[in-house]
Amino acid sequence: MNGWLISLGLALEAGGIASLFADLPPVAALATYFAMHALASLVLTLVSLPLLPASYRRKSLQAGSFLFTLQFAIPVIGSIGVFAGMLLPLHLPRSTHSVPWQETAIPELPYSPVDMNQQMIFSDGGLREVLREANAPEKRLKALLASRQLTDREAVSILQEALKDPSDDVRLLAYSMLEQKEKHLTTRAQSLKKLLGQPDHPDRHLLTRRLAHTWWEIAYLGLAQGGLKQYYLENARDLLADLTKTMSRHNDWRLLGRIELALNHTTAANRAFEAALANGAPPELIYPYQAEMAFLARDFRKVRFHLANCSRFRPMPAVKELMEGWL
Amino acid sequence: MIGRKPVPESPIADITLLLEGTYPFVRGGVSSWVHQIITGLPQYRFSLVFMGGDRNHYDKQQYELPDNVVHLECHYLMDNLADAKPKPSKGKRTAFDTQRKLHDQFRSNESVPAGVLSQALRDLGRKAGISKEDFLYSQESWQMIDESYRQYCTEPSFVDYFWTIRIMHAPLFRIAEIARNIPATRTVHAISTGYAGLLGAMLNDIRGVPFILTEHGIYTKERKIDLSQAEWIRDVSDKVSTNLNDQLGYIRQLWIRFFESLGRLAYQQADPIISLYLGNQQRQLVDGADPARTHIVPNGIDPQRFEGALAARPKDVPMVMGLVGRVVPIKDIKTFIRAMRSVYEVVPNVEGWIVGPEEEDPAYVTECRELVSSLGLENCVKFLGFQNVNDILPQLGLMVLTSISEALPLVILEAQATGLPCLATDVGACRELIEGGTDEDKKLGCSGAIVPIADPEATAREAIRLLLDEPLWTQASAVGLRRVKRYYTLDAMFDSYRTIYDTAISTGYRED
Repeated sequence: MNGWLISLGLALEAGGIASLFADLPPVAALATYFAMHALASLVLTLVSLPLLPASYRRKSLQAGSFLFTLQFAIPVIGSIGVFAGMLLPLHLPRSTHSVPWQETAIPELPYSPVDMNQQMIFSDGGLREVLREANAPEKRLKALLASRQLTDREAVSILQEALKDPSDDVRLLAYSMLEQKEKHLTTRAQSLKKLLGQPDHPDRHLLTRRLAHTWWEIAYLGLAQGGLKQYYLENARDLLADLTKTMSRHNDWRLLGRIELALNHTTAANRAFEAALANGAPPELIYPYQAEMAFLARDFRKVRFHLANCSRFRPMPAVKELMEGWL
Repeated sequence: MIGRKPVPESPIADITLLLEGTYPFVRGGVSSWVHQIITGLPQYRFSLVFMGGDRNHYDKQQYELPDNVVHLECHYLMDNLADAKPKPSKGKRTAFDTQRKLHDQFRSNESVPAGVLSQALRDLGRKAGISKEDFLYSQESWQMIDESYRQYCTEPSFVDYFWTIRIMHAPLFRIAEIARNIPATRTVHAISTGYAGLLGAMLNDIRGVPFILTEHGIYTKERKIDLSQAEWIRDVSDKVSTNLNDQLGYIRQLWIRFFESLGRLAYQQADPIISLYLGNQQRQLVDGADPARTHIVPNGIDPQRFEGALAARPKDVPMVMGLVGRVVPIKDIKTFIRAMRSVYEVVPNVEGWIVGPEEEDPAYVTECRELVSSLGLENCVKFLGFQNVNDILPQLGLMVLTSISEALPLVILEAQATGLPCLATDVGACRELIEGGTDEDKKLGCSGAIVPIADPEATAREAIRLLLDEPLWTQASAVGLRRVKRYYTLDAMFDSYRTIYDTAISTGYRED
């Protein structure tokens, strides 16, 4: 049966090609060719379908359409390809390996990664100790470099201590690291000031808030001391005082309170914290500062009162430690 | 290569000064010192080789060259190395093997055997050795870079490594070219290590010219600090570990080691190796200088030059704090400005004058001006640009130097010569200059005060004390005057250099 069908298919294909060279009008020749080629492709598809493995035969419509399309789209070669390239390999026995896996060495990295075992490892507390105690300047330099991984506030106090180091190298590195932190903040402040200089800037409130935060950060991180710190704090305070007059947001009041507290203006700080609470500040964020103010006023009963109030909410981890000590 | 001053004929110079980023295009302490040496020793003919980075930074000559300067040539190390179309080549295996040996020595931190060093320096930039084209395009060069990357680099980016090596080594070929082409000279004198020091080492080795090295600051140390923080080098960060480790990126370390190696080469070839004070001499020894070759020659000034300024000093202490120096980060002008804020709170009529050229680092000048405005000191702090110190010093009540690194600052000596007390940071020889060096010197007393670096509060505190306590001010003024006249005169410095030059010249030179 298959032999007959294959012969028919080949005959139809040959007939189609012959019609292209026959003495017919071009359109009729082309139409005859396509009709015979389509029939040949169909016949050869019918031949090839039963030759497919069982799993493919179950979806005979999709498989048949695919084989037909392939043969129709690529005359002659398509049919040869279907038989030689697809049907034969599907029936050939699979190659079998004596071992089901192949052993290969772990590929080397194309470079030499750092051997962490040879690196000097520090802990947060150890860093300051190395700076104070280590005799070799190289060790103190390494400790300084490790401080790059600390938070800015932790790093700044260590770097400032290193500014008084007997070794020139240590002092210079500490200076340059501090300078970089400060430059980052002062550059930001300067660009905010420039934007605020535009009288009709649409985001004046946002810019004012950001500038106040930047001044505060310089003081908070310990990058400024004495008169300079006072100057930055006062600048931040003035900006926030103006801002809270026009829009009352609890975050602005809270920062204003912290700044007043840093300036030792406890009455003003208290007022600001009260305003923050009145404007919806989460109490667990405000009570610790009120406890601090009570502590500064030596009113220890009130310290306990504020910390106890804190415990009703979800206090920050640092405050929890404080509560454990006081309550 | 551009000769700025056409020379009708090129007589052999007695001394060729190798100057990196300084005289005669940049004003400052080192440049003043170079000018002093040239004018103070008119019996010698000087040739100047200036090396800069980007040619756009050095447009105007800041000093009129004295008559005994017979030649000046300028080279810019950041100019493009290759102008020809790239062509593949194999490269000389033996020459690259010598480079491998040289780099192995650098890695082991040991001095390079004379034969290896000599061959490596001679090969550089020669067709028979490693031409610049060989370095840029040859198979051997690629192979050496590839080997080093696989063996030593701890960062994954080959592209970063490859370009770092090319950028780092490109200036060496230009320096080799300079070494072969500069006019004949009896001795060379480099004013720093770095590229100038390398040129001195090459001239000494290739052309047999005696090589003198004077270091004002310690070049390697300053580069190390710059590079530790440089933002143009990107470190691969450790995203996994929670430990604090000291790791500097490999590329960063590579740059630091490069300048350390240049420094060691200069120390290996130079004799004598001169520093300005004891602290820097000790540093040179730590960095590999031979103790037998190191000498100290302090800076000096001519007190007579400042007699007019001393006489012009007003009876009352002017409430003016002056910082005389280039407006560059190493002078830490910002600490001066911050200190002014605190002084201003206590002494509202105080003024702070920043006196010095502003061309070298315009970005830093802008930052300083912005700091003045952000601290509300526009009416108190003034930027005066470069001025004649003789005109400025009598108008000041206190000389302030907030530098984070100095050698032996001339400006302190000049201030002392005009009876002006000084407030300086504890760097370089500042403490010796203000509190005295030897026991005998210390007995004279203090001519001002010393404060830690980057401490505006301490600076302000001491400034207020010195400005407002008149008896203290008068005493400091007298001590400074006595100290400078007794220990820091130009004659002593000229005598030392006369001996050094005569010895080097009499050693003779051989041109290969």
